[in-house]
Amino acid sequence: MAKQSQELERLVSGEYPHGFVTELETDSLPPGLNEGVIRQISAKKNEPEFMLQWRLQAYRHWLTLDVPKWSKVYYPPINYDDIIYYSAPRSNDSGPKSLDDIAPEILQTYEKLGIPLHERAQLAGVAVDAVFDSVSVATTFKEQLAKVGVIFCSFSEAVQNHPELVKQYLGSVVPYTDNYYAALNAAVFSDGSFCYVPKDTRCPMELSTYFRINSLNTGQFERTLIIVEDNSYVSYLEGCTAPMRDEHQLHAAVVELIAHHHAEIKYATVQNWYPGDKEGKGGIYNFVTKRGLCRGNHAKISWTQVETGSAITWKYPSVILQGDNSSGEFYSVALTNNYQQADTGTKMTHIGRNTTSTIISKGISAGHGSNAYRGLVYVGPNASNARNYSQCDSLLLGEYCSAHTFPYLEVKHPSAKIEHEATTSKISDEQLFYCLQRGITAEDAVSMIINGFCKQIFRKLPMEFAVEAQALMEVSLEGCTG
Amino acid sequence: MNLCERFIQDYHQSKMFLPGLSLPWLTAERENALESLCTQGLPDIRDENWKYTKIKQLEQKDYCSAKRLDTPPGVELLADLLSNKALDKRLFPGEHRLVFINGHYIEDLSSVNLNQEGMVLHSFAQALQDHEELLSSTLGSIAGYEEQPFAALNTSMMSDGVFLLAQQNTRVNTPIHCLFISTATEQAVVSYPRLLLVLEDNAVITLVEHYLDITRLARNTGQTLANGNLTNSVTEIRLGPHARMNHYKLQYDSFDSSHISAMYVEQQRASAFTSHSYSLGAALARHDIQIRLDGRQAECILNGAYLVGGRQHVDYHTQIDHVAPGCSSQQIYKGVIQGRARAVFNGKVIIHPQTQQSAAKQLNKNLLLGKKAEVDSKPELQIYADDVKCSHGATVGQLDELALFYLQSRGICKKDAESWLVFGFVSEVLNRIDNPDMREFVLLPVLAHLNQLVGGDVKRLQEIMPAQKGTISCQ
Repeated sequence: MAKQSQELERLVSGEYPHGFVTELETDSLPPGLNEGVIRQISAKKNEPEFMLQWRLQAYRHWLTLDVPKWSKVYYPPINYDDIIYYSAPRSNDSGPKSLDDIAPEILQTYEKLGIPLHERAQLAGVAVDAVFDSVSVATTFKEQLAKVGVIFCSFSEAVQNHPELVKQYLGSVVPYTDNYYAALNAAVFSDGSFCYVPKDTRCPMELSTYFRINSLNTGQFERTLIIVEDNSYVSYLEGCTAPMRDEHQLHAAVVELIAHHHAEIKYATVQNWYPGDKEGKGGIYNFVTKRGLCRGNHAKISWTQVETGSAITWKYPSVILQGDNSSGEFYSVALTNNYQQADTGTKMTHIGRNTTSTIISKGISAGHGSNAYRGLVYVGPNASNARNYSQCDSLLLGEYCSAHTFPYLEVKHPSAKIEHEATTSKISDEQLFYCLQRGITAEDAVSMIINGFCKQIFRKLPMEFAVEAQALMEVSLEGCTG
Repeated sequence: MNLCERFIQDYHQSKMFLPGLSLPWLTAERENALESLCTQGLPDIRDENWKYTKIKQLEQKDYCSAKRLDTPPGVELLADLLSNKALDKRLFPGEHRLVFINGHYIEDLSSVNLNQEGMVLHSFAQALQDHEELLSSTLGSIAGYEEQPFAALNTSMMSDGVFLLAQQNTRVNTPIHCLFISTATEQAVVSYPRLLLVLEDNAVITLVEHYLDITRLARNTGQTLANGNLTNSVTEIRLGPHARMNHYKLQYDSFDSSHISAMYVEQQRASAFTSHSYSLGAALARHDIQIRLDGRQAECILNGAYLVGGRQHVDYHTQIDHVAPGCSSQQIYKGVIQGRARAVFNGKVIIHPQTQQSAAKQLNKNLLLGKKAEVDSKPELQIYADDVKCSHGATVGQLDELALFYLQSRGICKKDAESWLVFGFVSEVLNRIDNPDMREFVLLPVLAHLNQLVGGDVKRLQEIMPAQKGTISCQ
């Protein structure tokens, strides 16, 4: 116990530990957005013509769209011409060939973040693709993965080396017409991760991407595409951090997952973008579109997310259950403290027969934080025997925080069984009292109860991440008990 | 001309005939509401509150506002039925009865006991003459029409309805029965009933809002004129401190009519409001229920059931605002959806900042029976305080196969077994009616309608119902 509270204290005094800025030369485009910028991005990445055309179409479509207003988050309008859409650490030539070519500052940065980029990675057994500002700087374990046929590389590399795969799958789950931020991302995305798991392959290690926004005034627009062929399996982790700045920075990412027959994808996120300071100054606007498609029969996609960072989170990892007997899962912990706002949830679209989905969402609001769950369970007219279970619990800490639930159930088939339940309450006085009378301090008791509240979700995370997530919760909740 | 424009035109044509013409405040109110309607327009599916409910079928009809006729259609039939003492008790509970045909008050058929102490009960038009002062200060103060185009329409066109004032410590033991009859005329008509109910401190009242297609009362007459009428009603209720109200609403309009209604309740300290709402009829039925818990310890309980089949569409939108601390709200809505029908439920609970010690419960359960039926459920919670206990739940499912099998294994045919199980499902709501007379009053049409939806032998069901030992069949 004593050791744990020391640890806690260390974490608590650390506030946002990833708020440092790395000084290094960058190669950036001037701020602003127009077709010229998009052409330049495309040219810098030496992209084939189809990519440029796709980006331009997306941009033209984006111009016709209005900023979505339906979510329960409030922020001043973003001026899209103030954002730098491309910023890359300056490299000598086309890109890092091995770990030795990477600027030592970047390596140090990742070291500070605790990403096992070097050989340590081997011990951890995690293959990492690290994205710094807008470009991918390193992918580890590429060879080992290649041996079993798994392609895991940066998106730019995939465009160069596997254009046929990119062309086939890019935008097939999240088309650029999907929403405002997806269109923006499609137009200007600079890099991201790409993963392809061939037939009958169980990916031998956990794959992981680490995102970091470093430069001032940049927006980060990355795109992740994961394709898993028949009878294959992959588990994927994503983490993110950013320096502390007073300005808001925009992060608009798109993640597309495609699972074929009997394939399984596990996608876990620990989102720890800079949340802004106590007065709600600064922080990342995290507007992300994530969607998985269970294309084949018996496919399975599972999203697990721990959302502790960002000034605003606007994110709905969804699953389209197209194949028969496919299943989708969504496990989420979202924590908002100070003036953070989160509007997050999921969409489960049941199209195939005998599809199942599970939604477990835990929201914790503290300080002036606002936390909303917004989810849709749709059962189409042909989705016989669809089954869904949703549970959304909210915990309130402090009298100024708020918690909202907006579940939508749309059922068009009489054999569907849909259940939704939600509860909202504060930590009960009895529970606290029980802990206190056993000699546990109030702070420890709250942290314990919250850990218990989130356990169901943390259990879904890979081991290292679960530890990190737990620590994150404690840091993020610093000072809100009493 | 679209529907909204037609409504506006209708207002200009009929404003000379609306009651209270000589009252400037009322005319101003009507004009304001009309202006609000003009700017809002009628809702479409891009409107979040009307996302699942299309009003296209209204668009296709050529409505006119119901004119007051000397002998309204159906009046004789109704008079007959009312004189039938045996029927009377079952169908028309209570000694106070206000009857409206196509939105107009029919004095001859109504019976209002004016000797009731502490209570003022009038038709709307009458109240405008006798209690103008009170009306001018309360009418429209509880029901807003911002973002409520149909409430705005009602406010501009309201022609008749009910005004009730229960003074301090008044207790009215028998229900006040407001019967809104809709009858077929050559052209589809719109009626705009308006109810204003004010309960002062400690008053206790039970009121029934009953919307009925006349032909249902008289199946044996063979009179089945199609009736595509539209009812657009608004009910405003204010409960003073410690006042208690039981509100019943039974909507059993004809299957090709439309019913769009809104109820606004404002509750002061320690008042209690209980609503029992049953939606059976109408091709399109929309119920907006908005409750403001304004004083500490106020309590509201909403019970509802909707049974729909064919191509019916039913939509319940409830909103409960916890504005004062220490209030509690409870909602349970159950639905049976058969055929190609569609049911929409949207329950919103808002716990405003600083309203500690609030408790809110909400439950929506749906039984989806039809192959092409659809349910859209959206229970919402918005919570801005921390010391609260809130929960909501929503389910969509089917009859339990095992229970069906059990009944069949006991020699009960499948149809009957189904209807019994469905009835059991609905009973949870019915059993919340604690007044046995009122339970029976609701039970008759519910059983009749269930029989239509699920089939099965309702008579047998009636026999096993302890409260159902009467002699009259529900048919």
